[in-house]
Parts: sequence; structure tokens; C-alpha cells
Amino acid sequence: MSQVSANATEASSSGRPILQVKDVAVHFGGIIALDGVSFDVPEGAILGLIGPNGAGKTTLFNCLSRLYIPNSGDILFEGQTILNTVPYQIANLGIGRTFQNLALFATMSVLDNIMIGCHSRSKSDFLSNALRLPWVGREESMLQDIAWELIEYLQLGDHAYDPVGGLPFGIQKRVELARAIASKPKLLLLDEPAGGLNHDEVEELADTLRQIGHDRNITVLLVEHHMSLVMAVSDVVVAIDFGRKIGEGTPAEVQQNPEVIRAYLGTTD
Amino acid sequence: MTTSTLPDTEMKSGGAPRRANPADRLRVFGVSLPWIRRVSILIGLALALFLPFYMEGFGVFQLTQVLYLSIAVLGLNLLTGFTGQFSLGHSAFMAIGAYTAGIMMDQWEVPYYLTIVPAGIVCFAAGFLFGLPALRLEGLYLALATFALAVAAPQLLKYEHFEPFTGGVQGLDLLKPDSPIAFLSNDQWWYYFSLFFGVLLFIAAWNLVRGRTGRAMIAIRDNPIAASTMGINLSLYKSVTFGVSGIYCGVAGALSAIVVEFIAPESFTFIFAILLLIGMVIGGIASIPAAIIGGAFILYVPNFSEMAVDFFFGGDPASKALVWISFGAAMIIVVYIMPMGVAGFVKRNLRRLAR
Repeated sequence: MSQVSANATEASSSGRPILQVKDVAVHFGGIIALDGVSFDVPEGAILGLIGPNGAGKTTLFNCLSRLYIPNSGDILFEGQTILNTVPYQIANLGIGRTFQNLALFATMSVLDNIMIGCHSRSKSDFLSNALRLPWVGREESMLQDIAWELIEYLQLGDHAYDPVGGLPFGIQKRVELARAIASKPKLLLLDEPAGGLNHDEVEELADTLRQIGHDRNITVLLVEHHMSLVMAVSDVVVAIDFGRKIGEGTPAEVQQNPEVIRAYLGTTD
Repeated sequence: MTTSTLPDTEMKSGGAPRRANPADRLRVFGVSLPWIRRVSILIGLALALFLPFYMEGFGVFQLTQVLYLSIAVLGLNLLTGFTGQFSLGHSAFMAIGAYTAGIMMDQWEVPYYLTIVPAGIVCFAAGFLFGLPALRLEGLYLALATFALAVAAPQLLKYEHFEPFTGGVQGLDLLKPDSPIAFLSNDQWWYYFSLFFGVLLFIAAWNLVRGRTGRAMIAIRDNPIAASTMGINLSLYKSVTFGVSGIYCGVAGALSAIVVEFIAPESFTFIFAILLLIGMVIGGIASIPAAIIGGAFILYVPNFSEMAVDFFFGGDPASKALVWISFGAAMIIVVYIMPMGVAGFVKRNLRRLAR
């Protein structure tokens, strides 16, 4: 564990946990999706959450973005519980996310999708928009700057004005990432960002994730099936199975963990 | 990949390179698309300004009707086309606007030009309040709830205890003064009076949908869960959009009351709500200029149908039913030729002609 904190401190100023998951349990009727999972996400780190299909990764994820309410346990972001926070205010706290099966605004352009990502950073409303007050124009210009910077950063320039719905899957994934970063989150939740990507795209994604963590000072919680990606980018790995945590540590430690190996039937990739 | 940091909110423009929209470089007959847009807006405005001078009194009156119908269709489009919330009850909001203006003029002798804004405000409140319970309903269920509103509205207006205000089944006859400008006939004056509010409301809608609010509205339509994750307060946006949609229908209703000089419960039946929906679909969903086409369609096409039926079947009393049949036929033809509405049809063919 000493290695873990070393990695985390390297990437951040304080190294205190930005997110604390405390004994979270979720039941759907008689089905126990999460059975008391606890772990901390150190500030500035990339934490990989792994587990076989149905282990409860996405359920946990949906608790973090307040789509599900845990039956017991608590989730603290920067020391404050988020369970009293209504879902749309999660973005205001500084938590951004992407979705496993993409949740883009299909009819809107790439540019507009990313500008929506800035919703929580801007404040013009119905009245000021309808009257197009002078400061609304300035705010709009600022959002454009943020969006264009991300468009260049994630190499989306050729598609900036295309409706997202018609773009290839890999590009849509990048748009979703850009949209999530646009909100300038402190914590970024990524639900299987490598799902459906080809080998080259996964390599590129690994680079991007490292850069996001280090250049933009964003803590990343990564839920992923793609083992080599998780092992390559994560500072800390947490493994869960059947709703319980079965291992935690550096990628190397978790790969040696017999319980984790058993859960994956001996395969780690 | 370049290494750069996220710009801070203080950052002024000129930071990140912006690319021009490649579609803006496309040309149709040598004219670029942005110029086609500008020129069509200018032609539209010129037509709107000068057309009444080249038309007979009744023609101008019909144009005025097109104006307020367009405003109502636009209001519905903001709610249904942009935000994705169905409404089959917008006739009720028009009724509320019309009766607000009518009662103010009839009971309190308020000058007609002071009734438009209150009608808008009352309808905002009505729309917002109706929007709150409607938050729990989606799709067809919301359509049903709003339909109930449309069915109930004429009955409520006929209710005997409201009769001193609403005039009951008889409705209200409204009197209004003559045109205050010497060189404008009465019809022309009401036309320009309506045009003033129409232009204001169309500009406001255009500003609304191209800004942060419009993006949030479309986001809610496209993917509500993702919209919420982006920090969009769904309840607030949906209910305020209901209210804003109400403003448009309220102003349209007030204008209709003033222009027609008469309001009755039967002017605002659910058939009228469906006509508004038809206008929206025919014009083009989620398009602002399309509302004018929609307004024109629901005014002129039933009239044309009537004329056509009259022409072919003469004064046969049974031919009344044929009006709706031929209106239906016209609708099927338009939807078949232009499945994305007239706006979508124009857009697609401009793209096709562009090089």
C-alpha cells in the first residue's frame, strides 16, 4: 500500500481521499447487487474498478452519480455525503461521468454536445437567453473556447459540426469524454471507456487518461473490463465480485491476489 | 496529441482555434448558405411588412390570423419540438390568453394593447403550474393529461358560475377602437399590431434555442438521464418550458380575441389543439421559421379544402364532412412528400443543391 500512496501523492497536492465509498449496499428486491463495498479514491489518482460481469460495478457507478440510492452505507465526496444531493447537482459538486453504452445528445453537433458539458459552469437562464443580454454573448464565447480547446485536444475537429448520432462509435466515445471533461470535474467517473474500441483506440485512450489525470488535475474512477488498460493506467485497483470487494492495491498486487484470480477463473486479460 | 490545460473561466476569446462550419462554405447557385439564410430572412421581413398593402381587407385579416396561429405553433414547438414534451392541450392555453384579454377589455375596460402582456403572464403561470404535475408523465401519458386539459377548457368556460365573466356559451363580443394611424385601414393596423408581437416572440425564441437554455432543452429531449448528469435541472427546465410555451399561446390567444373581436368556448376545442400539433409537424419539428408555415397551413388549407369542396359539390349540405376529408388528404400528401415537414424538406434540398 505504500506504493499506492506514493503514486497518489505524486499526482496530487494532498493525497487525501477525494471520494470515500463506505459500506455501500444496494438490493434490487431479493437480489443483492452490492453488499457493503468500501474503498477510498485518493485525490489525483486513477483508480480502476474491476470485476466480472454482474459484479456490481455499474450499480456502484450509478450510486455515485445518484441514479440509484444505496440501501445502506454512505458516499463522501470531499468529506461531504452526496446522498442528499439531487442528481442534477452532482455535476455542480465537480463529479463528471461517461456512460457504458453512450448517452450523447444524438441530434446535436459535437460542438453543442461538448458545450452542454459546460452547463454546470455557466448560468444564463430563460430570460437572459431570450433577451440575449450582453453578458450572455460573452458567456457563450467562453463556452465556445472551452469546447474548441477540447475538440482540438481530443482530435474531434473534423466532426465539430456533425450531428453526433451519425458518427463512428470510437469518435462518439471521445465526444462523451470531452463532454465530461468540459464540466471541469474534480472527479471523473468513466464507465467502460474502452468498451467497443479497437486496439489502437485503446492505446490512445490510455494516453489520454494519463494526460487527463496529470495535466488537468482530474481524479479518475475507471470501471473497465479491459484488463491491460486498467493495469496500465491505474494507480490503485479495486476488484469486486458478487457485490463484495475481493481485492485492493496496486495493479501488480491485485494481479497476484488469489481471490481476484479465482473470480476471473485464472484469466487476467 | 497535444498537451494543454483546460482554460479557466476567466479566459477571453481567441484562446482555442475555432473552425468554421464546412456547411457554411457550401454554395447554392453561387450563394453561400449563411447568405441564403440572411436573404430569406430579409425577403420574409419585406413580405411581412409590405404584403398588407397589396391585399384586400379579408386577405389582410387572414394574414393576421396566420400571425397569431404561427405564434401558437411556435409555442407548441418550443415545448414539443425542442424539449420533447407532448401536448394535445395547447388550445386551453390559447383559451386562457384569449379570455384574459377578453375579460380585461369587457369587464374592466382595459385598452386592448394593455391586455397582451397580462395574457402572457397569466398563461406563463398556467403553463408552469400545469407543467409541475406533468413532470411525472412522459410521452403518451403526458399527451393524455394535456388532452384532458383541452377537453375540459371549453366546458369550464361554459360553467354557469363563471358566466358573468366569460359570457358562458354565448362568449364575449369585444369592441375595439379604429386604427389610430390614418393611412392604415383597421385590418392593416391589427395586422401590424400582431406583427409587432410576432417579431418580438420569434426573435426571443431564436435567442432562446441557440443559447445555453436551448441546448438544455434539446438535451432533455435527446437524453434526459445524460442531461441530468450534465447538471441540467430537468424539473425546472420542463416546467419553465411549459410556462414559456404558455406565454406564446397566451399572447396568440389574446391577439385572436382582439383581432376577431369575439371569443367563445367553441373556438378552443381539442380539435384546435390538434390543429396546432398538425401545424407544428407540417411546418417542421424543432424549427422556428417552420412555425409560420405551420400557421399558414392550418389557416389556409382548411379554407382551400372548403373552397374545393364547394367548387366540386356545390351547396350540398352533406359536403360539409368532405372538407375534413380533403383536409386530411392534403395532410397525407404533405407528410408523404415532406416527412420532415416543410423546413426539413427545404433544408434537405438546399444541401442536395449545394456544392
